[in-house]
Amino acid sequence: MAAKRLALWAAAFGAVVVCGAQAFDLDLNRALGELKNLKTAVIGPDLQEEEEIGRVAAATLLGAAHPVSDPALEAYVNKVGLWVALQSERPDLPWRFAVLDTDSINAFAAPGGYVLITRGLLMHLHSEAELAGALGHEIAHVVLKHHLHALRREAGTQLMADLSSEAVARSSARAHLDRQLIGALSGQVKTLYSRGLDKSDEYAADQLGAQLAARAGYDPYGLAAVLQTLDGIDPSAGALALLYRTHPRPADRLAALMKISDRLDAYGAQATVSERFDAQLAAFKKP
Amino acid sequence: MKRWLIALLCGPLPVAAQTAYVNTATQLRASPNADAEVLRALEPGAAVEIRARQGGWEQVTVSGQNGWVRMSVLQSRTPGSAPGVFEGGRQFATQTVATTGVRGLGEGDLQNAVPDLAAADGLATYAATAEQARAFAGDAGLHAAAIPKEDR
Repeated sequence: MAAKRLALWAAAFGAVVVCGAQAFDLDLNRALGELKNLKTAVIGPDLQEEEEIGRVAAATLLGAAHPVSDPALEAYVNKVGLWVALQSERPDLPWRFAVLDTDSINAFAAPGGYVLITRGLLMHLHSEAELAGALGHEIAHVVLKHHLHALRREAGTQLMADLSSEAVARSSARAHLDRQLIGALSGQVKTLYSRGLDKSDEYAADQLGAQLAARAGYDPYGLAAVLQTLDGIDPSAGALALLYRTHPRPADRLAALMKISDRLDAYGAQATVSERFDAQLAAFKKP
Repeated sequence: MKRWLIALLCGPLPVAAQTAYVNTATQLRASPNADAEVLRALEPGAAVEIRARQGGWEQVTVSGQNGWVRMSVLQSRTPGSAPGVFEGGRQFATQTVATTGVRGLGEGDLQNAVPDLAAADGLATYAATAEQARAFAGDAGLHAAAIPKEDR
């Protein structure tokens, strides 16, 4: 809808520029500058760029593992996730959630509102509050723009400039991103998601994630329970390899999260919603 | 719909009894509260049985005595075993691809991934609307909590 509105505005503005140029020999650079200002006023260049980066990051992760083919489960995770995201500072992003069909235990966030959780992690959870906590951690990464900032830092200004101009082109006609551009950005995504964010970003996402789940009415300790579960899983089995490589140890994350227990306790005892969660997973296990 | 509401009203959440170990010197308390009466001191390595969880506290039995400890002082790994093995995750940095028999998403899978833009665009298919999410929350008796002053 935003893209449509932009196209409409751009068309109207374009007509003015053309007429103006004929009459007053308007400087082209100034016209382009005006167009940029107009774009900023309508949707903002940052959001457009964030969506493009997030789309390629999500596409890269989805190239490694596909979503499970279970519409009921995908719809369920989307509702839990969006309800938590609605409590955040960025409720209006186009939030999209998916369950990746892999035994690996992990979850991922990508700029623009993409959140992916693996089947392996989902199967280790015990309640909707734990799911809300796990999704909350990833939502927090998006809200705090951790991956966006890291990719902007790593990718260099030229790639970002190219991406921005591609984003502008795509906003009016949904043209395909240049293949080379996708390849370059996808390479940066692979590096970042293999290496992980700064530890401080992970601790910040735990804190905000637990708070978002609590604001959504869930037991504030759902995420803490997830970290405790992760701490109890034998890491030599391999399912946790990438998670351990990219995150501080679960026990360290739990200890850090418990430092804000006063803030979490202030929400009081809230719902775990384990029955609805169990029912959803039972339906998924025996289709 | 009422079914989900019950979860809101319950006290401690019973969990399947499992053995855990104290990972740092702590105290067994009479109730899930930092100001509660101290029943006894617990040394690192002490084995406890977890009975229930309430907020950030676990109800445990140790040597026949019931009490509460903070959830962060418990670990399910045998004390002293694992931390040395995966300290800082370094041990695993070299074996991330070794997931034989597991349909996994390891570093190797990520490095070999071909970006699937159609799959990324397809995620919008299952996206919920804000109205759907609110109705879904209401079905389980969930309401957006007023943010306590401690958390502002």
